[in-house]
Amino acid sequence: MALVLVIETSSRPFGVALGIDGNVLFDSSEPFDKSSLPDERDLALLVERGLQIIGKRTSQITAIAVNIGPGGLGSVRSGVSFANALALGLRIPVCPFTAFELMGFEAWKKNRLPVLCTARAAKGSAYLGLYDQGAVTAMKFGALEEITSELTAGLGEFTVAGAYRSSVQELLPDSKIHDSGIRVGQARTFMEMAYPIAERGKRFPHIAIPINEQSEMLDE
Amino acid sequence: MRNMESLVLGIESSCDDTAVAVVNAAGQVLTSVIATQTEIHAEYGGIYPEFASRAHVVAILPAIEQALSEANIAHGDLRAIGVTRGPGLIGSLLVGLHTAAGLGMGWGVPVIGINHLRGHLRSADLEQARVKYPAIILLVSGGHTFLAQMQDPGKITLLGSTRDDSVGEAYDKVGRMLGLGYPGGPVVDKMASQGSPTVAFPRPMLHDGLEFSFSGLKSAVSRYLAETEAPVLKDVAASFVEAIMDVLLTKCRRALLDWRSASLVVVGGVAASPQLRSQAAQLCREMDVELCLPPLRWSTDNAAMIALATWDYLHLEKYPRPVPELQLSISDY
Ligand SMILES: [Zn+2]
Repeated sequence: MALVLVIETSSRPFGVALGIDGNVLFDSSEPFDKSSLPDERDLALLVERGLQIIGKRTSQITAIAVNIGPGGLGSVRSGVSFANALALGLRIPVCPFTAFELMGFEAWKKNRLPVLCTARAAKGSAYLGLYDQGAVTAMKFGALEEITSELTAGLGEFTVAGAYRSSVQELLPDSKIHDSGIRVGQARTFMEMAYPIAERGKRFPHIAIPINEQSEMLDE
Repeated sequence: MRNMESLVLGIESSCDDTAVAVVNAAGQVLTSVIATQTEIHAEYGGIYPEFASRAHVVAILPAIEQALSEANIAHGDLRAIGVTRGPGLIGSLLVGLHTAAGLGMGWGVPVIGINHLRGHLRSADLEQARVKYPAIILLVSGGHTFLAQMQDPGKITLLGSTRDDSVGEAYDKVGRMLGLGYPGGPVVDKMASQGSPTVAFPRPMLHDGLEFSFSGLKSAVSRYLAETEAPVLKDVAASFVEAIMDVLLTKCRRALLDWRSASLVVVGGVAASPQLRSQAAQLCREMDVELCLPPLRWSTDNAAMIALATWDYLHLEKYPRPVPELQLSISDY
């Protein structure tokens, strides 16, 4: 049995999903009894509540997947810190994935077209990622207008996801753009992604690190 | 392995240092690890909150592992994890809080959100019981400036705090104006010791109870430097330090007159100031109370003080959740 805890950190409240062998058993975005959860910022209590609802113990979790952004600075760091620490505490792997892998997967399912994934950054800058063929193939940080034209050059038709969906459509009035309607991905989506936990899962002293404007995964 | 549940792990990440410590119920410090970020921030002449928070994410788990291994303990030895929940920089607090929450959940150890100020107030009793109660405590650092009365370790009354800048901030800003770099405290004190207090800077709120204010003094220094042709910087530093000391010592004297006290405790980074140490010693001789100056490593931000405060919470059965609270006052748990 592989009990995976997924933490979606793009914004608060956090998204939390629990699943066994790819089947979602708990999804915090669906209605559940929140009476023992007085503070929505309390991620530990939310995870404990989810485990209680599906009748599992913390020690039964076999891997933790966490969104390392790009997304809200505080929420991403909070969720990543929690995931790293819980993984160390349980001596299990932590599996970092990007916000764009999640939203790209969801948006791609809708139209089977390349997806331009977008996220806000500090001081009016943006993160953009191009999701195609089941993976994020390019990722950039910078001024929205500039990196939008760089990443969409040569793309005839595509889908847009994330925070800057309408801005991208305004910037490229002549392109054929589909609005996915997706602002942030859902924690449960991770269960559908073919994430190679054994290969990409990190064990302490290796930890998940939030994406920032100096991250190596960004293209020049 | 030691006795089950005999130790507390303290975690402190409210500002720019990632600190972890293991402390027993008697205040004995088994280990205290501090991963400092001074180099990262020296470049900016102050704390850059975004980088502080980023650095905590990378530093915190290795610091915890190091602390456990130095103390030669396992998580089964822990009665609780105490973690600073405020006041502090939100991005930095969040990293410590969520790390503590994750570890506590993984280890099955309770996690308590601690008021950073209560940590400072208890810092003087680390390693040995130094404080003679009832005590007046002056906390002066980059983040805080206040006077409090402690009847005993659990019974605390706030007497007065700063309405604007902390003493440490005033030092840092004046240090920058004098071109001395960051942090400002030691360099300004050093320069001041070579000059004479020839400039009559204001002493804000000197005759006003036990509250403090330092932004007017800082502005006065800035104005003086702008308006004076070829100012003698060491005299400016000496005049600034004299004004600060005058305010701090006047308020301490007033507090000692108002409250029957056995000791005056000075904690916080500014307690390193040689001027403050010698003038506080003189005041205590005059007032016939004991001066308590804990070792500086417990006086600046550290996790051992958070761990010792955690024992107070356990004894009083107070268990705030590890979620951030930026507006805590010292009377809050
Ligand atoms: Zn402090």
